[in-house]
Amino acid sequence: MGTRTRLVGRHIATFGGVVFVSSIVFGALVWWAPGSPQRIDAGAQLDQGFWGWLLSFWLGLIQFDLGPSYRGIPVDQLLVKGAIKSLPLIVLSMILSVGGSLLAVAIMGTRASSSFPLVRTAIHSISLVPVFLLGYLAVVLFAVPPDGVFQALAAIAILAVGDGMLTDIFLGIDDEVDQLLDRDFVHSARLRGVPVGPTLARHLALPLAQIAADKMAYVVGGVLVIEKVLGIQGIGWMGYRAATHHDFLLLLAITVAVTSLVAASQLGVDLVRLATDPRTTPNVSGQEVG
Amino acid sequence: MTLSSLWTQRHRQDQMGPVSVFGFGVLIGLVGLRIAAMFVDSSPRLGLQDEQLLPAMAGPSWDHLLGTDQLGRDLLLRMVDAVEAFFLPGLFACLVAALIAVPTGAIAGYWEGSKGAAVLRGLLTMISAWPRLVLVVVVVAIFTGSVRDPAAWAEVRLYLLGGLVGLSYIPQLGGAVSERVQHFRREQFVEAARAHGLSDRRILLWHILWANCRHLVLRHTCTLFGAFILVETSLSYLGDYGVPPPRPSWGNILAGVRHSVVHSRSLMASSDSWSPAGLWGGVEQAIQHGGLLGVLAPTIAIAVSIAGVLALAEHYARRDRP
Repeated sequence: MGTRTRLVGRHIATFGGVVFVSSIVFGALVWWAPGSPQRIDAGAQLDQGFWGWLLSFWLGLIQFDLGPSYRGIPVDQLLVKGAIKSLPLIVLSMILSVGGSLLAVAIMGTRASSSFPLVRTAIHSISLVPVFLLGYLAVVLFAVPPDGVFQALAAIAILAVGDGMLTDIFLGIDDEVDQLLDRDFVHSARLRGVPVGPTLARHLALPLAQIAADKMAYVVGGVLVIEKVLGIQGIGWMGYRAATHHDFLLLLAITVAVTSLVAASQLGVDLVRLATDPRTTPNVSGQEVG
Repeated sequence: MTLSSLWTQRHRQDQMGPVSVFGFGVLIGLVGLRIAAMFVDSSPRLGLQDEQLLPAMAGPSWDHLLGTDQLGRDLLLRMVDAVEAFFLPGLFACLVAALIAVPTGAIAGYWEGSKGAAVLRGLLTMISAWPRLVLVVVVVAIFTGSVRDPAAWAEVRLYLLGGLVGLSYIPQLGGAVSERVQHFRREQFVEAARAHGLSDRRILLWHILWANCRHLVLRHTCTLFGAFILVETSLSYLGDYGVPPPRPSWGNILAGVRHSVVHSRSLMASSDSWSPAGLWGGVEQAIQHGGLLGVLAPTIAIAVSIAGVLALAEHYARRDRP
């Protein structure tokens, strides 16, 4: 087995470990919660302890048959239904935020060369506003209709901007572009009259993916808020409702699903870096370099 | 470089720019409001006769500068009183994060490569995969959701919220400290200190953490305080897991006036909702119903407070640069 394969295996093992240990932690919280229906049901009817119950949860997760929720609807069906609404919001808001930031940097230049200080300040100011406030203002001022395309568009725009999302991504991209423009190969390419755009794009792809992966946990938190504010029945809305109604099985499934999503985004970036970045090469001892 | 020019350069670095002034101004303002909140009781409706009650959603007047809310309570007093909801729990969140993340990061960075450091790094990786708001909602729902009297448990819930937000910030602070310690442990002054017989504990605590990491920690704790304001107001706005009414929070003040403002807006919500005239009509309705200040005051307070603590974080980030 090659060292590169071992490194891939190590990253996948880290991902699996994060999901596995997280499910134990959240499973323990659900099990020992005051008046936990899981503990009462499992103890009274199935004569299971914590580990037996958790094992049946893992098996259910693998087979995608987690049993019924508090409302009697299968948990896996609810998860799919929620994911269909939430995943597009997460992905599109991320694309909008990264794309908007790239466009802004392309138009205004980086911090060092910017001649648009007011526009930059405006971007920072709007981005400082929390997601729930932007959602609130959308409801109060613009009377976003309760269902439909406008609601989803409003949610995507708010997630792309609020809770400091746009500022963080904008500053991250700004820093990356600034550092990249200062590299020797870019200077020499310019001196030789070669267009630097394609080179910049190639070198920016991985840092952009890293910035987006780092913000994934924040967007998932934002989804919980904005879905509740705008009444979009996605994963966040269901999670909030499950928490309020003490539907702990659904809550555990949603928590494990969103933790897996965040960990998977990091895993994706790690694997792409391993495959594409020549600086990340395994050395003799199998340690990652770069 | 002479000693005097070094002193001048250092003095120039220490001078505060507009960002720092804004940050410290907001901090002083928040401390002042927290002290004022100790002397304010914003829910004086209990025990009052009908004729003593204030009208609901009244506009601003000299007696009530921001008007009243949907239950006839003075909005300005409630705004001041609401600082209690996040000030001390926010500091508690910073304390939890600093007490756990700084030693964890320092150990993981200084004894890099050891098994203990690997375990700590694994823990930091795992916690970083938990979305902050999801973690907070899950734990608060599990442990305080079945409480029969939420108002009596409000204080406990707020500190639980603080602890959880602090916990969720540990990977960021711990990672930053670990990276910094890793960088400095290879520096010549550390080698020299070792050669002089100084213990690892003294080198780590005094020469690395205190001398070279304190601004980094302050910067992150300021950011964390801003994150706590965000989480507390978000959850209080959503209801259930934040500050339970009648106790005020900037989040639940906004939620309280929402219905009357949305109602007044819905009067105008016809086909021209998205037109400038429709928009202005909604705003006009909101002014007439006295709800506009109920929306604007908490909105501005939240945005300015978060901007202020982030400006303070930026101040420490500038001081942190070598």
